[in-house]
Amino acid sequence: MSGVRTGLETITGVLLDTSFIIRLLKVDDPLHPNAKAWFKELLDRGVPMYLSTVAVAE
Amino acid sequence: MERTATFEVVVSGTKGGQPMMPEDFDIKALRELLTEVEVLLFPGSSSRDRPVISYEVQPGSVRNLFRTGVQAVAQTSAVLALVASSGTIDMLEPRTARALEAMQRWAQEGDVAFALRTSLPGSPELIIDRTTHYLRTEAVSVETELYLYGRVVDAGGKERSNIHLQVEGQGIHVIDASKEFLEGLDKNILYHRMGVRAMGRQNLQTGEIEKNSLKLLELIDYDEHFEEAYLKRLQAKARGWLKDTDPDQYLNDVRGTYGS
Repeated sequence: MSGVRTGLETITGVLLDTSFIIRLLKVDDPLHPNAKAWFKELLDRGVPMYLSTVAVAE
Repeated sequence: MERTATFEVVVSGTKGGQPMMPEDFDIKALRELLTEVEVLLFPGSSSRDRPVISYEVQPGSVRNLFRTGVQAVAQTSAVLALVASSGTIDMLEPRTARALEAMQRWAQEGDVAFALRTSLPGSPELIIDRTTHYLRTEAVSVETELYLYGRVVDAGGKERSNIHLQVEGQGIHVIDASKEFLEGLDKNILYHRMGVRAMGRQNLQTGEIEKNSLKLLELIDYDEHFEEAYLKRLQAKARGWLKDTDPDQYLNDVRGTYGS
């Protein structure tokens, strides 16, 4: 996705949902590639990712 | 309108039964006063970054006149008005509150009185003397644990060892760290981006962290670049409890009807 205008250019931060975390860590989940690609993209673009205490508790 | 204005601190008291005069005002007291005034005028700046504050002393008892930019004086005037009308300093930012607390303690212990005012039209006057109580209430700040992420711009110190962490949008946090800890680091952290787990005091009213109250608990090697090996390690750790988990079912079970 890098180099392509995705709308992320104006985003100053994202709040991660529990579902995202589970799918990022669960390699056999059908949505794992999506979560991993977004994770990489957000890191590459330097977009801060926030995790709420509610998500941590879940 | 003039571009500069005056912040005035009148110190009243007696010396040998006579009203205090400028010649009775010792340089030690003056040095303390200058420190507090600098904070009151420029609470968010270091001495290097702020505009010039010029100083003049006049009789009556001891009139200390500080001239600087009109905006800083106007902000200080607003703080004086807020404190004078509310009778408390609990809502102030920690540095400003500490400066007024120092003057309050000075008034109580040294039996002097302070009158703080500015040269701006309609300026309020804040009196601090033995009868006032401009001290923060105990419950205004709490001990808290927090994570900070930023760039280490200094580490070490001969007397008080610490690291200085530049956090985007927040300025520099000074975090106490033992010499043994810094000595034992196996890599140079200077100018590296790091995460810090620290204990510190947080103002309950403003939410602000008291920057000089921080004590280091843990230094986190924080690399904001994507690292496949690191992700794989996390996935391996999570495999045990995720392998038989259906994410949708799990979240439905945890959340129940919440959000449905």
